[in-house]
Amino acid sequence: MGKSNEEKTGASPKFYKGLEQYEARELVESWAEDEFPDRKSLASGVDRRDVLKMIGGAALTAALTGCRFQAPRKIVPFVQQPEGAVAGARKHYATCAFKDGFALAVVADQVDGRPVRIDGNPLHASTLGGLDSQTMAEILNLYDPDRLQSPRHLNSPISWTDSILKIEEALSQAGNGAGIAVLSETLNSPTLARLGAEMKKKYPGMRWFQYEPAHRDNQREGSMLATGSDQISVFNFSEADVIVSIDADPVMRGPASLNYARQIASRRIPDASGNGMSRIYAFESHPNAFGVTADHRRRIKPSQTLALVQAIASQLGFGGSATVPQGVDAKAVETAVKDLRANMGRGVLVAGAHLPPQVHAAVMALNSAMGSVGIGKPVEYRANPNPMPTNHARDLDSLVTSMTSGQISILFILGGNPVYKAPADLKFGEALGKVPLKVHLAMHDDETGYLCDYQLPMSHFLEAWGDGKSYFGSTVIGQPLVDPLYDTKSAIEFLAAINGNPADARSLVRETYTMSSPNGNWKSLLAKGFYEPISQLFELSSRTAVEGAVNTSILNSLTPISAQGMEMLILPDPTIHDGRHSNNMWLQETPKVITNLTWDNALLVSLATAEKLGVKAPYDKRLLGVPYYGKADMVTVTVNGASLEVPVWVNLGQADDVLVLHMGYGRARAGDFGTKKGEKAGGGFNANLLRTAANPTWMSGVEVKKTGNEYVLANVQHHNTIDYKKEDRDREILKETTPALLAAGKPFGEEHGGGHGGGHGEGHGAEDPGFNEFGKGKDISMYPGLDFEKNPEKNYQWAMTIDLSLCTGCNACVTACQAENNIPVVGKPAVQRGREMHWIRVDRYYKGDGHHLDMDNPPIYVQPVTCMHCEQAPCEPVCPVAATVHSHEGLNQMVYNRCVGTRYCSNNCPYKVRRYNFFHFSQRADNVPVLKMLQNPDVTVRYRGVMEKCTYCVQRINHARVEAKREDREIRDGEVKTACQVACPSGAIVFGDIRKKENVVYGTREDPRNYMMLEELNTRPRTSYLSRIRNPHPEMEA
Amino acid sequence: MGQIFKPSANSIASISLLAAAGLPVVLLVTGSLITRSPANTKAFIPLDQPVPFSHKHHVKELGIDCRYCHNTVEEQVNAGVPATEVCMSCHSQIWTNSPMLEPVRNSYETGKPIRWTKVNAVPDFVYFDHSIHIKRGINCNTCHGAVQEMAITWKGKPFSMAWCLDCHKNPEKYMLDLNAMGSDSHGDEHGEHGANMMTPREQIFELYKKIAAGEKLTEVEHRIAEGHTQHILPSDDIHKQYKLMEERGINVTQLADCWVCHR
Repeated sequence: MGKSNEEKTGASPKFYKGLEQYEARELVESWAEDEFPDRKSLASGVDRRDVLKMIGGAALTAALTGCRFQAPRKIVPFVQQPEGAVAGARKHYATCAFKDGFALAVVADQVDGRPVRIDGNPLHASTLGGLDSQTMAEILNLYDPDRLQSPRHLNSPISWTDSILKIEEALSQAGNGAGIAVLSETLNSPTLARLGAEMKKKYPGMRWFQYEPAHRDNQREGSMLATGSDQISVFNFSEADVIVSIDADPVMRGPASLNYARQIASRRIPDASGNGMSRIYAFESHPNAFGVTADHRRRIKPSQTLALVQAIASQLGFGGSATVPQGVDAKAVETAVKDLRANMGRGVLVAGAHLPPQVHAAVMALNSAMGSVGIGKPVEYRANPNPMPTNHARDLDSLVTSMTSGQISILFILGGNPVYKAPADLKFGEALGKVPLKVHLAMHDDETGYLCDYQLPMSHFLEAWGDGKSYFGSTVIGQPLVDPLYDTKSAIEFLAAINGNPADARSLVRETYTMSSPNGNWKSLLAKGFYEPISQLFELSSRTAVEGAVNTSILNSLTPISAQGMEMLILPDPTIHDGRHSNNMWLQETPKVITNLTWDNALLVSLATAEKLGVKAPYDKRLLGVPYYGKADMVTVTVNGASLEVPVWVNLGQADDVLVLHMGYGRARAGDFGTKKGEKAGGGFNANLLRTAANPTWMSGVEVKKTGNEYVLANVQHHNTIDYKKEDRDREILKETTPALLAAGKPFGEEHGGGHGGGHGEGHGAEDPGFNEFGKGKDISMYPGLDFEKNPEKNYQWAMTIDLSLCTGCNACVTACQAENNIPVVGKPAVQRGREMHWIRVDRYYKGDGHHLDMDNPPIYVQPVTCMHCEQAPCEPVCPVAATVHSHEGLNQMVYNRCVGTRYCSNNCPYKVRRYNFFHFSQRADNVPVLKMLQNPDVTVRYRGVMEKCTYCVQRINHARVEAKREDREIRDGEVKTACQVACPSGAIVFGDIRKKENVVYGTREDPRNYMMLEELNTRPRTSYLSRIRNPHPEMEA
Repeated sequence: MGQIFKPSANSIASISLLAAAGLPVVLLVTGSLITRSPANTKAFIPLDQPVPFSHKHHVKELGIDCRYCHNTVEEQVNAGVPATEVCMSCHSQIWTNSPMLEPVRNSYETGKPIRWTKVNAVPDFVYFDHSIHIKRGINCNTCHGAVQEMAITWKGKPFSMAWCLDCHKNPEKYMLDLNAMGSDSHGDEHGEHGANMMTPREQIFELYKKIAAGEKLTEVEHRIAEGHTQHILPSDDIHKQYKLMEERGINVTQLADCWVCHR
């Protein structure tokens, strides 16, 4: 360390977990210091006698639960063992998931015939091995106990055969089919499209509509303006030196985000001379994951984006005389332009899907004008690979018109929930009432199904054969991992059935494949999971870029965006999306990116806007999330005649006078977790009520009025907070540098000097083979060496490194860990008390300058924190029953059966990474039979009263160790991958054995950017961090 | 008023004091003895099965290899319990009318599996892996007892944690090296694996071949086949055992870590 800790004492921290910490420190400290910050609410109505009774009762039940006898168990072998069926062995199958209307190639794990996990398919461009939180949580959707389980007709049970017969009967009277309509979500499956076409041959008048709220209408119409056809923009961010984001979030939103996250990450680490790193300018209406990654983040209103693109164009000399819109940092635009000019052809603009079509047209034209379009260039324009691209809003509109006018006699709704998801002014539900026969094929008994005649249960994608077009052009095959759990059919099976096509889904999907590759090998296709253009990252072949087709002259003739008053964005929720994951308890409890809200949505506003509206800022004791302690003010949002009452959440870094509300909440029929239950259980507010067919995502002229009501939100921001009072410490939690400083030997920025350079502490040179090789920093312990140090060379020594330069805060690791380690969900009230169980959390920080925090647009940082597996773990000596002890491989072991729940360990953990199971949170998994199938059989399901925490996925280590021993070798580098590491879309997490110098993780420990969190405590963590690199333009501050 | 306590009360008092002091010890000892006894562990108690399958007959008398039925024991976590069709591979030819085999035939005809009672079970929070124990040359009988003698199968060992740890802390006690025992013919040089040298895995099943063939076992082999530790060895032989562990790559330091078996 360049400076000693003493010198720093007294200075204000630079990183704030939130505004509250800056303004109302003592409140935040109550979370850091007080075990039960809300004890008043816990102890209400309890007197001394009750306490004594409870103690007595607790002692008795504790004694009773100590005695349990195992009933004799049965072994039930097969009668005829299928080939390859092995009890307890894990198998992997390539299959197909979906994101925003396109297919993702995924690999699903199956144990004893039940799917237990979904990961990305590393062979395919759509995921490159990483996976997003929502798709991983699809495994829970499969086992959702609230799924629709059998067909129903007018609310009474019916068999599939009867349903099909009756539907066929109705169809036979449909004549040429003019009255038949199909409404699906984005039509993505070639097989389904083929069946649709087959049906249309029979009924030429039949019409097929598509609608889902997270559509790409704006991009489509933008492309129509710029190129005359529906082109998709496929970005090669690894080829981009300068990226200018126009309110876009390419790392988290959209069908290609997993690919983009990996590509962007590949350019976020400079070479030794400080070159090669991309520079990202983000002009954002609200902070998102890409803004966190960005080097320069500036605020902009959505209505100003077109003017911004035009201003950039005119400054670059592509005509026009647009000026930088008012309120946008002109210096930043100027600098971005300078960068784009210097890197002509290597810079690219990317626009958010929610922005009006003009913005997309302008961005396409400008990219083309800059020469950035083409193969090997930062962006390519390609034909939309989907079988039937369409404008969703227009589709829905014309469907509703036809329904209202009585033209539709039979409506098939294949998936989706238009009654809830359609913009409210279309009155889809009412129009539906005019259709004589309504058939809804869906996984849930939802708002739409409630209004339909037939409610047919739909298979999950892990239960049925299917296929889908990926954003990159190839077709991904979806193979089932399990027979349908209930009496369900997939859309393909259903359409085939009503078509009278006797073929099963497998042969239909195979037929589609054979049509495009007659000589293909079906079995090797299934092993790989996809066919046709193999667009691997960096290997860009067999594609047609359409450069030249772009009409750049439109740049300055686009209709300007007119806006007045406040603007509002209604976007798919970062966790539960458009409501399709409403009943997914994992996602409901996953903290939302940046805001860290759970279980509800809220109206996000900037601090200045909040003050203008007269609602209280978070530091007003209000929004800390302590239940019954402070509540969020509610406001009525009125736009286009519709209004909705919602609570307000202040989101630093949002543009003033811009409101952001997420969809997916306020459901009426969504199951146990998704249905709106009010303040106590969450469920949020239905943003669709404010959406209109004309302005489904962006609207202006919004009026907001404080109502005087209050609402409690559950926010995890200040939970598990590292001790705030030690101000000298929290400066060390997060470190950052720039490429230039890094090249100059200052891996932790200016003030830290270069003392740490070289990665090693002074305690060990290259020739010193001692244990310090693994533990970083000088060993200043007064205690003798630790037990596990005795034979370090004999045992693997595990360690993890998290690169803060690559982390975007997308929460994929949180869900990956939840699925892998059977982590229970605690529910909104328990989250409010700080009892969420996630073993890995993503902390968000705002950066100040040591004295002052820019409350309008503070730089935002994220940092995943999980058990550090300290070599000198503070949790271990304080445990009275030795329930947490060290292994010889350097793991901090937690022994559930020994734990008596004193929680001393958690108290003594400086990183606050231990989680306590207060109320048998895993009970639901015990009681609901179908949820038992969800549990990972390789990990113990923990009971109440037991501490738990990150294990470094020891089940995977053990598995690899046994496998290696069986083959008489050592575990290879990269053989053990933790669940979070596999999932991370940007590859920020590295795990391995630090004994060997050739291992990747050893390299990261040697990296000059490597540092330990709270290193001065001498805990010698095995989890280390690589400092964040920001690449600001030399002429501008970050 | 006369005396309430007679002189004998003194001795009663001291005896009761002593008894009171001794009682907790007696209770503790009795309690721990009971928990360790078969009354609790259910070791050595033959369990009823739908089919009175005799390991003694199949293993010792007929000489069928363990792996014929427990076919995944070398590669998988679970040893594998045979499907009905495995039984039927022989019993469709022999003893086709035996009433004892009625449930097997019934299962094969109806497709309903036989529901065996589990004899050797570890709790759910114990993650045991057969394959690695076989790989390291731990004989089946070391954990399962003298299976070749069981007419109706019983749990040969208590399967308590202390029992697991006995070997995980001192695996040398349970290691057997047949190569060295027939050392005269192979030469005593370590590291020189001649054509007749057997891997630890092969040695396990070699022992069963010997048993099935009715060959005479050496005392050490006999003890291992009975599921006991090796005979108490003189000190130099202990060193031989340590050397053997080293050869087989057994890392004792790490073996008793909690997270090796629990996670």
